[in-house]
Amino acid sequence: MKLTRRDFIKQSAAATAATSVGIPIHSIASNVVTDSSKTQLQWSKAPCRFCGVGCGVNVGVKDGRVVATHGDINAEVNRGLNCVKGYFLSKIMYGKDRLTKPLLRMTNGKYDKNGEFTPVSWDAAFDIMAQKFKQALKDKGPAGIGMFGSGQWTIWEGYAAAKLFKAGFRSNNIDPNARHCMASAVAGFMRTFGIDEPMGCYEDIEAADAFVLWGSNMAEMHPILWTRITDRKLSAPHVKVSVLSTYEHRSFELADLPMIFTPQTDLAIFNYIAHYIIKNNKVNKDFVNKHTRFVLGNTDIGYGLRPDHPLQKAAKNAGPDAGGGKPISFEEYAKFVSTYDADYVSKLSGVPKDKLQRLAEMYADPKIKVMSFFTMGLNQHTRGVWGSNMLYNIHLLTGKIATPGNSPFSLTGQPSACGTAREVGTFSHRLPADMVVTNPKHREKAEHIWQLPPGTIPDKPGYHATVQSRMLKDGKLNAYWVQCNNNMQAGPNVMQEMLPGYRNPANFIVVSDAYPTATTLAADLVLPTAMWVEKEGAYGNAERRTQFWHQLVNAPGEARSDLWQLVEFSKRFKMEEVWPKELLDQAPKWRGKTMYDLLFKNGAVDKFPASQVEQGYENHEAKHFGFYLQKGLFEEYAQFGRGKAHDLADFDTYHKVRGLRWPVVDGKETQWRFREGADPYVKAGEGYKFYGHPDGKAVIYALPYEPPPESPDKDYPFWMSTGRVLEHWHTGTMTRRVPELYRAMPNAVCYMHPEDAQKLNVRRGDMIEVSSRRGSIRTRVETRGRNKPPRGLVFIPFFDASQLVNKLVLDATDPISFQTDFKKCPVNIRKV
Amino acid sequence: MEQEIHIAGIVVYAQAAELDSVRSCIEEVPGADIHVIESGKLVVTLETESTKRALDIMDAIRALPGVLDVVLVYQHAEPVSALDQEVSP
Repeated sequence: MKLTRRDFIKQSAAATAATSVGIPIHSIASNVVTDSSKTQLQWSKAPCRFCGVGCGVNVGVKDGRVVATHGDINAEVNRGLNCVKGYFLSKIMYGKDRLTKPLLRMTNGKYDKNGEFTPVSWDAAFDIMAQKFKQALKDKGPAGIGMFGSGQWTIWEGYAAAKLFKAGFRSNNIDPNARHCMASAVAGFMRTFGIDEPMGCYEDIEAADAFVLWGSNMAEMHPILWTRITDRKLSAPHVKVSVLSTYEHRSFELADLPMIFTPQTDLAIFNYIAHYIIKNNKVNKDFVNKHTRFVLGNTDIGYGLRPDHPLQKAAKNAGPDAGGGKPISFEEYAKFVSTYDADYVSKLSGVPKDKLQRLAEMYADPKIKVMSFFTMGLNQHTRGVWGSNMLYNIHLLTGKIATPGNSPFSLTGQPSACGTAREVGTFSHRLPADMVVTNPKHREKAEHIWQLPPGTIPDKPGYHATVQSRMLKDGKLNAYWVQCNNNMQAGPNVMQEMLPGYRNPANFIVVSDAYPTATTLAADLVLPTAMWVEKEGAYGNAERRTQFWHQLVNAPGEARSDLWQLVEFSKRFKMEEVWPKELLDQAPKWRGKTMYDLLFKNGAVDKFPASQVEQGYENHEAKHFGFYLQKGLFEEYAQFGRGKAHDLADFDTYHKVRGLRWPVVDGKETQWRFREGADPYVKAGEGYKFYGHPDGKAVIYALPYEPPPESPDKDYPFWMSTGRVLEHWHTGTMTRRVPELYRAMPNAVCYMHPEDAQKLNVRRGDMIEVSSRRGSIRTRVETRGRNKPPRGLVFIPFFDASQLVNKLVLDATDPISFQTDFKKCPVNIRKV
Repeated sequence: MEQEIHIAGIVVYAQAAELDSVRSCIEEVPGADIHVIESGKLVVTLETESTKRALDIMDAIRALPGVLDVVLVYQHAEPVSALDQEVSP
């Protein structure tokens, strides 16, 4: 009998699928599965490129090209399964319009801001880039340059970028796009617990009796976790699911208790639940007395707008005191939330009283283990930090935390929002391992590890994402580098606050990406970038799991990793060009050296020889620089967190395992933090310890409902919300590479209630104009489909480059986290 | 560009009472093969000419009465000529 590779691969596909659901391979009568001589595939592990769940996949390479992927049966996150996004993993690198050469805007062979994109060599690209950065440094000092990075950076890319800016250039003007998605969650963790990231893990799913989704559409955005929730519900019929949102989406299909609330009123619902727990004597007094304290948070904190905005001027605590507060007693807290009774909150939120009560009872009943999930609905919120504080309040009042199944859980959208943006600290105010630039002790520690003279790291936070855009527009930030994100499409108030800054003649904008995007179009220099398994990488997922992968294929043309770009660029600067004489006098050994010598060829980062790269794998950076760059960066970085409850294992371990959840102490990962017996940082007899705060206690914050910056009125009568749809993950830069998918949903549509459509005299498919106080876009009406808004609210996805929906959105931010609110903006709609 | 063949390995979760009808529906789909059925799970491979076709089939299976979930496990795409190479058994 003749057999083809196709036959073997089909057998492999069936056997792999069977194994992943526990059906023994022999039932398929296949003995060829692992026989690579038949399939001619070389398999290696990697985390999925797409979201923060962090599924493990096996990647099949043939003749230097990725041709297959499958869910990794040994990965605890997804146990062999994959979501639809996994279908695109092997395709994302092979789009026809992949960038393969640096492109500079030129006229007659010279750089010209208004010229045409022209291919240039890397040398020429770095020449002009260095010249522009040096000019900005000369004119404005370190405040004149900036960088906008990503939660899709690998850990060492984020670390190299942060070090380049904070230690090398002495500028804190570096921020990740995670500012737009995770900043409120971070600030929420820091305020309540004093340490970032969830205390629990995905195993909470199999232990929980109830799930509550607060502004999270897990069915579409985190399907593998949703499959685990579905499995749990099917195998344990008592399990209940509650979904809260401002419009109906696919997660509602599994909901026992679905709730649509008026935007912003989630704050009042949190306080109603807290009040219900107290009123019905369901407070876990022992836990609350031993492990929590109460604080009255400052109120009337503004909306993070420009200081001259009337709403900012009117706010009492809009300045640095936005995050402040004062200690209060339990009784004072109880009184504070007592005004949030069922009548008031039901009227405000539009949620019927009986539903509110059933929800509150889930949390109040000591026998029900509750897992609360939240994502962008709560994070992209002008009171997003408060929202997460108020959710923690409920879990803390009942002691439902840090035990299996009791878990307030912040989900992430990007694959390394946690591992890179948060843990490495690529924010404008942060240093690695939850440290901040404003704390002298933290700076001292960083300066020690980075071998810097005291006073090198600037002590004030730099420009965060939204301020970066404003400063570009105002001509105060003149040399700017964007890596690994499509900010021109994802950012807020594009036409008024963003594009003018990119095109400001005073500025030079560099954008590194694998594909042309709205942002590369707005750039002056475009750098072609290697992606995913074209480089050695590491991501950290939403449950604190750090995962590594090897370089499996070469990048096309002259595309280079972000890491290579950062390190190679550092060679262009003599220390005398970036540091003042006084600083160099303190560290004369760096005189005459370059930033490359200071940051990377410093005896620590270049400690491991290229020969240590695992046999059988390429490593472009190790070959180019002559040492194992990724290992050196990781081991230097790991010094920040070891012994500080952020312990990472050694580099080589991660290439062997399917990820480990930090803190990793004595080779053991930690599933639940803050609880004795589960967390090595909690001593015997302590029970629980929220050691992020010096007193070991978590903070319960008394915080009110405050209205959003703008609400619908006569001129703009509809609420508009934005978000993703599954097929267009992130801003579509990657998933829109797949032509079949692009055709399936070529343009974004405006989901609206059929009765609203009738009132506007429009029908499904009609062209409409959606306008806000900032601008307008044209789109088409959709009255069916999986997103079903209530009357008075419309939903438009943000992936479509031809309809920049974010230009409608006010650049209002949470005043504590500075994260933008993309979820509510009043708009008017008319038929075209 | 040369025609590609897409091979997917998926698992279909079905309610016991509907298992037979789900099976006969899937057997009707060109390019779909059922390899094994065990405790409510059907292991299926799809052979199609495009990503879209594979996803459409998965969506259609998901919509069948009695189907609880469809998950992707394995995906593979290569040019026809590469997949038609003979190998010794």
